[in-house]
Amino acid sequence: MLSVLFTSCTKTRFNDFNAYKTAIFSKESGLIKEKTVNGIKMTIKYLPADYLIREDMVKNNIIADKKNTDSLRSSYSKSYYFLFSIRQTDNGSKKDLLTRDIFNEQDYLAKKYILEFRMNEFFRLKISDQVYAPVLVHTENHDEFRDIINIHLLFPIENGNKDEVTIVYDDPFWNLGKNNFLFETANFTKYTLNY
Amino acid sequence: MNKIYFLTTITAIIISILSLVYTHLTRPKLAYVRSQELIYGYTGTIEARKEFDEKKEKWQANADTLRAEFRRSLDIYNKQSNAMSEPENKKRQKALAEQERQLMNYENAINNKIKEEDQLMMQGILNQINSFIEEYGKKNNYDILLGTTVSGSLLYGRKGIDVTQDLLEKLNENYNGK
Repeated sequence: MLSVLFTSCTKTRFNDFNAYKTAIFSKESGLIKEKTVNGIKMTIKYLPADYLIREDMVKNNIIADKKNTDSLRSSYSKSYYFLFSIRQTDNGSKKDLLTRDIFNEQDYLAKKYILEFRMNEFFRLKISDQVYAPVLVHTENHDEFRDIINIHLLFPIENGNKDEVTIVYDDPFWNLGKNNFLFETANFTKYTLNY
Repeated sequence: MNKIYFLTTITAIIISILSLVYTHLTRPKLAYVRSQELIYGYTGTIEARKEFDEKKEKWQANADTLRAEFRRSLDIYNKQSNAMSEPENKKRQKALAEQERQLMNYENAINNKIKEEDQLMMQGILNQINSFIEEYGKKNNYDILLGTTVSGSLLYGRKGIDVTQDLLEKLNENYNGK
């Protein structure tokens, strides 16, 4: 309760990081989009600059003073950061995400190779009719225990009308087809964090 | 006497109403969908088909170039063959046969690739549609959603239980990521 200092029509400011995290990762935030196709759930989260700054500070023991915060903010505010996750919803599936639809070692290795090095080919950011490729795509190691694949995406912020941006994922592995995830950019700055 | 008659009538009416309500509540909720219209009206299908056609055109343009080259070689050979020596003739014929074989191999490979890509594309689209129909059915409490097919497993359905348009609108909204 105390963490929410100020609430206006458009912005909510937090002091407590956990409360902030709960807010940005709630479905009502408009920062999370989900789709389920063929027993596979795709979730994409927009990661706001404040969240990334805080994570960076904790991870690298950076003191949260104005100078450091401003410096990090300036680097994080030049791009859109997203976290794309894939997991299976049909629990009856005996195979995990990596071995699903795979019948030999060669195909398994090819899939791993694409996941590690070529995922940039399958993600795009669309603003109206303009299409942009990601500047960075990083796939985390497959979480075998939870059977989740996390992919970090970074797109440059382009000029022009950006009321809405769409992330397009054209799946090369599980017959999920082309999937669009539309975000309203007004939501990107709806929640802020005090350091 | 009148009282007994009155009570019996009331009881009969209540039982009738209750049985009607029970029948209504336990009746499965069903609707039907015109499958072809759903698949071909789906934005995902329209966009994927457009992209696929563009790719197909490029592959076929390569095959057309190879075919044109082969025809040109054949024309040149036909014009010059009379003036050629027997060994030269055989050499050119062999080269032409090889060129034709390569052209046919390329055309076969292209046709197989087109078929394969088409199947892959449609599989992705059908998976998206089927997954969304399941979600739509659950959200709207349908017990059964039937689909009209070319083979005609559904012969008649009242317009009131045709949910094609509503389903298509929601399916397209979902495709656009809303």
